[in-house]
Amino acid sequence: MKTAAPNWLGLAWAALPLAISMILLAWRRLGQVKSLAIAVVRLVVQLWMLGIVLKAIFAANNVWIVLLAASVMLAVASHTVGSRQPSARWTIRLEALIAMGLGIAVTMAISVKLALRLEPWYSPSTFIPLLGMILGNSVTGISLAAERLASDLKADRDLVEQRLALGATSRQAAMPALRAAVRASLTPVINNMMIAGIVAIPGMTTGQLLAGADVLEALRYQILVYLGITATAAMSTLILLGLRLRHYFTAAHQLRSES
Amino acid sequence: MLPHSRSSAARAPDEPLIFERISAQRGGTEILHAINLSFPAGSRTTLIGPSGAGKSTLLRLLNRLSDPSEGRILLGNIPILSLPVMALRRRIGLVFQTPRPLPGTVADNLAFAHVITGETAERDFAESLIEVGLDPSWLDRDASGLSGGERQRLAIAVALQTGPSILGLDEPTSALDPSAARKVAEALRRRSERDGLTTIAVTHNRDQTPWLGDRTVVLEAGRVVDEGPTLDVLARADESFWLKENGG
Repeated sequence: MKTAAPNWLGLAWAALPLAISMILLAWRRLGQVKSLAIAVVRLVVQLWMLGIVLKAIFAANNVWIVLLAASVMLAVASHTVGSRQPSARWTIRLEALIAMGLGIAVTMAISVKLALRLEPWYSPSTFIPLLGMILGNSVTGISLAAERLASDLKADRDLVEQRLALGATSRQAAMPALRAAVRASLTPVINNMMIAGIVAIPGMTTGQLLAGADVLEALRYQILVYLGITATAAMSTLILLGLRLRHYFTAAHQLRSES
Repeated sequence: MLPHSRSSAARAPDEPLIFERISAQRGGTEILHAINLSFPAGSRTTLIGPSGAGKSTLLRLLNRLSDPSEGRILLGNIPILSLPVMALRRRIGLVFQTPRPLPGTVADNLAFAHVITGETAERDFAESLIEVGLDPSWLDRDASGLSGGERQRLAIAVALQTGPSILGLDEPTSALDPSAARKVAEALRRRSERDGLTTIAVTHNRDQTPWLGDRTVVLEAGRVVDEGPTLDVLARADESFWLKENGG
């Protein structure tokens, strides 16, 4: 049942179809050859380095090292959220750190203590991959939410001010933009859950099945991960939008001019 | 709390609105320079002047969409800064230049001012549409399909939903033909006479200026350069190039 993982020579064989594609692209002058080459090298180097780091973290099996790794992952995720914004990047990074930190902390605490009953709770070979899956899949939605709020409030300035002029609060005036931001954040995770197992076998299940895990166990794990991703995306989005909204309005419910 | 009546029933005349040495900035540039103006309760004022004179900026100050950089605005003898802002905005309404309707039907637009206060009861808005010369059967229409002139009239009907005692209007009839513009102006006049509604309307149209206000204030480069009964002011302003340019 258990498949042996490919060795380096095996991976070299696996690279052959891509190499052929790159030769064709180069021959037809269709571009992307250089980007593909860089990407493949980065993929291998980054994952190889990840392997070294993970091995060390797993071997250390120390709560502080796990928490340090978690903090670094969280910081990188927050940085990514900020990098996608047109302005106020550092403020958004800090706010994303707070929002995602709270969201992921709640999700992870419940996942490891109640759902998995992990012993010890920081057991790195479970904690770190789970955290990585959840952060990696919720970060896009969270940054889409911040982007969408900014772009809708800009495009609909007139409507927001018309609502304010009728006595709406900032929150009431921004409600359509807030709803659009939440939709932007949650649509991808909702779609993933909708099509899970129908259109595609989810990545984590695939990995576990290849590694020889029991099918039903792998599926229960996958459900746990999806629940965690969705909850983290939802909670972090709510917190981040709450924090962002203060930047667009004054305490007197005035829409600030372009900042 | 402010006594903000939501009905359009007759009420005791409100206090005058007073601008005391008001300066205002937009985008770091000073647009209005130490303006002194007074709008008695129930008065009808038009605000004219060349583009960029600060007319729209002045209107935004009325219900605190922006605040002046200097000076103060008083309602009676109370600075509007000391009033709760949401209640103030329901008392001093604003109709924007080339307004875009809120998403939804005509009825949704009219209901917004009520919905935000938590009111759930169904209302009949047919009267509100008739007042501004719109067809009362349009309530279920998608508001985004309205023409420019229809949007302007809807925006006035929407602003009147809070039962304001003061209404600022930024070129409220610019997209209307003369007869429709006249009807809207008449509706506003009726509100003034019946409910004591104070109106402050910006216009670029010389012919419509007397319909919209008995008194006219001329702004140029952020300063009041003339003020008085509309016909007198217009006679004097006919000398200035901008009115001829925009007149007619």
